[in-house]
Amino acid sequence: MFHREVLERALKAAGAAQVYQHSSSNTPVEFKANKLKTLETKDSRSLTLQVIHEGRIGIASTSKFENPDWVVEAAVAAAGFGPEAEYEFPKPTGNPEVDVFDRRTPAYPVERMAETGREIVDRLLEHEGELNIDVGLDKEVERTLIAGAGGELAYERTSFGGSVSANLVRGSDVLDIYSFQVDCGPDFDVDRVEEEITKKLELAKVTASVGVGTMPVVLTPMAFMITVGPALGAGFNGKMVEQGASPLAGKIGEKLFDERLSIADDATLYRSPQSCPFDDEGVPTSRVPLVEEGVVTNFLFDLQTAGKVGASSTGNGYGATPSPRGSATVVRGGEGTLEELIADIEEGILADYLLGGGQSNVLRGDFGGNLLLGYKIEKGEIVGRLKDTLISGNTYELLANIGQIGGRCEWVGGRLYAPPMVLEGVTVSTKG
Amino acid sequence: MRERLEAALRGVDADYCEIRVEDATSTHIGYRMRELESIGTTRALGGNVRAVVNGGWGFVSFNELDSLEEKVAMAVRQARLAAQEETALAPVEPVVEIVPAEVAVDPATVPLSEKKALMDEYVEAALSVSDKIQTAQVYYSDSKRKVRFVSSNGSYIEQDRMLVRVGGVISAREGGEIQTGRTSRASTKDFDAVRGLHEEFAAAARQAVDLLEAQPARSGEFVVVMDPSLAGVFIHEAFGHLSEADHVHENPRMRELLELGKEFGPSILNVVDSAAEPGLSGSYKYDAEGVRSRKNYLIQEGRLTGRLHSRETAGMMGEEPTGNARAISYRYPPIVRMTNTSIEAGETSFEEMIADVNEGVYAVNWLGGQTAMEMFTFRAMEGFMIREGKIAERLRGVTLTGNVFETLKAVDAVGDDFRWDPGGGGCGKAGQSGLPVGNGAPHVRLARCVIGGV
Repeated sequence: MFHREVLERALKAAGAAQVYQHSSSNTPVEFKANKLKTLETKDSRSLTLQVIHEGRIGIASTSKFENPDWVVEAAVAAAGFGPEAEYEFPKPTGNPEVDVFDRRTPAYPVERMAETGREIVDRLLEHEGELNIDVGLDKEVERTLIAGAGGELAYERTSFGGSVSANLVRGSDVLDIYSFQVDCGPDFDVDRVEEEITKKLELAKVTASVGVGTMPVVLTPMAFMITVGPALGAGFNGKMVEQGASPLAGKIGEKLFDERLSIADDATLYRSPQSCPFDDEGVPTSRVPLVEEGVVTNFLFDLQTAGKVGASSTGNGYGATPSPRGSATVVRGGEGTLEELIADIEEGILADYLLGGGQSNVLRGDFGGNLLLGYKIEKGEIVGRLKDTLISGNTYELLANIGQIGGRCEWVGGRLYAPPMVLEGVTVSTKG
Repeated sequence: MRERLEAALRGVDADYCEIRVEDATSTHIGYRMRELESIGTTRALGGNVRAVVNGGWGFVSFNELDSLEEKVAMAVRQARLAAQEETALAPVEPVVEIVPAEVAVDPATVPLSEKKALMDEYVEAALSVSDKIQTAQVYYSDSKRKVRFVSSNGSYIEQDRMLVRVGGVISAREGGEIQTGRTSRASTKDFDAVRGLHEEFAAAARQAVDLLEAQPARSGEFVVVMDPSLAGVFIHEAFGHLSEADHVHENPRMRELLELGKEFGPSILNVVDSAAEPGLSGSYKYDAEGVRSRKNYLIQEGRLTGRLHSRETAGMMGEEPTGNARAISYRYPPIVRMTNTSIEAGETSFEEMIADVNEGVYAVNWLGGQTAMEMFTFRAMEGFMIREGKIAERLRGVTLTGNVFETLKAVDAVGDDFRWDPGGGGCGKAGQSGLPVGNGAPHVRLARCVIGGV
């Protein structure tokens, strides 16, 4: 076994060493412009060696499983200049509760994936014959292995998912509607895709307009991810906290958010494709509460960053060069359906999909984005689609006094499980 | 290796089949403040087989180079499963050529300790600007890549490529206010191009500090003057992606919207994409399908005159292949991409351009950009108000947004001060991000554009 040869030599050459090996096999099926276009098989593997040599970290990666000495020499050379290690390699340990392998996925025939894609295209075309539909379905089987002086541990994870984009062009007007789903098992819900896309198409038929100013904006879970998601992702990232770049640094225990807001990072959710029993450093995962009833409770750490601030890794060290990263973000639901949230609004916007959401001063909490799919709300009802409209605001200000939090949480591509939410006083700018 | 690859394709039962094999070594160094945060070396060896049968594509990627014949057979099997109509690949002449990288000082010959020492100096250059500097991230990377390409057409092409890049993201803080400045420099020829950039790193730090005092941009419609960096990104993001024929070829409505000969802007507007322009981030001799690169006019004197093609999109639209099929690595099939995209120089000086602007916005340098067909949003690193023909107070949070068709028509002055952005850029599309591209432009004025302040 290549990884054992690398580890053995590395343990001799450096004081301490750990190997992270990842391999994956994907089978994407792609429909372009209503037609089956491509079938793919993608196998990939890589091995990363991390050494702590004379107190410093050195890393080398390879997909060429031929020369174990090259890997060891490259890692030790890098350690000559590397950062000082603030941790020791742990004995690889897994969270036994986590189940992310669905045996149906590896065996699922690619022909049936092609049939599912065909069915989605046919059903949508029946609603609107001029749609231009792209469908991408993919199944993945991954294997992650950690090996160190303390032992060796591996897990396998499956995922099965897809994205659908439906495009409608009228004159110089372009409408794009998207739908995403991902799960560990092959349970792609075609009915849900059909319902989501046809409902949005229907609502977008009429165009509306909006003035400039501030007003309530209803965020769908997708819009939540695009607008406030990047700021929360950066703000709770232990690395940003350690550097003092996060405005949340030093604020554990303070109530900075609306008391109805609770957010957790959870890598232990049952058969969720972001879940795993241990992170890429061999630390067991857990549910990490970030905000509890408005109070900042935790940040996300890998080993090195945790070591620097005297905390413990939360099991969020991901990547070949590990750094803190979230898994699935879970926002606790409140009350009321999306329709009920809309019904309470005199004048406002329902935002679903935005362009350029993450390009603002993310650390400060700013967001701004052009509505790709958004609707005007008047007297509690959606009156039409908005175009050339930019919404912007500050995550920390808007989440300190939330209008309302809806009751029904929905998944956004396996990364976010959140309810719809009304933010008050969002800035709206537009042309003319 | 050549013999192995050619043997694997012998007698292949497909309309077309190709194999690419890549061998790459890269080094990176990352700093945060004075602390070296990551340093490492990566070696990647892998390849792919792509086959087409009756318009359906099969694609197999791998790290193990053995049993290539089986991989070819699998790609052909997949293509057969996706097959449904005629394959329409624009014909190209077979090419057998070895294209070495033209490198003056090879980063591989520079010791790691010297690269590190240079980065130490850049970190100091940024940090010495002000005690308001909160974080300085400085990064270095170099890569060498050999790509071998063999196709059932009879082509065998070997291309070597080097890319070295340094950059910095520097943020300054005062109270709750955080602002960022950036710099980057890339070269495909010479390690020495990334030496001596101390002043650039200091300038990025000064920019972050100066932005702390800047006024937030006001929302509304303004006359907007874009500096060459921002104008280069504007043309890439707002227009360039529309010229990628894969968006167009199977969609009759987009085809109508983007009909060649149609007026897209004023007669002073000329837009070019060219991988054949030597030495830039997006330069190459042959694309990922073995098609020779060339200079492609996209807009000439305001009219749409061309678009970017792969062999398939060219074949389907009955146009000539342009050599724009690219993939970020062997793990991905090539798709239609830009290379070095630019707005050609015009005749207006910067002084003339702002002289008759009563109230407008001068938008400088770029933070990022995105489009969704007709709509675009991008953010300038900084901005200034233009008042009565003069550059006035500094602005932060300048976001330009709008409809590309309307915005291109609003171009009313093109500067005489063309330059390629020395930083090089990375472009993302269809899950393939970080593809090296070049952007170039002079100053460009828009008679009106929506600024969304944050």
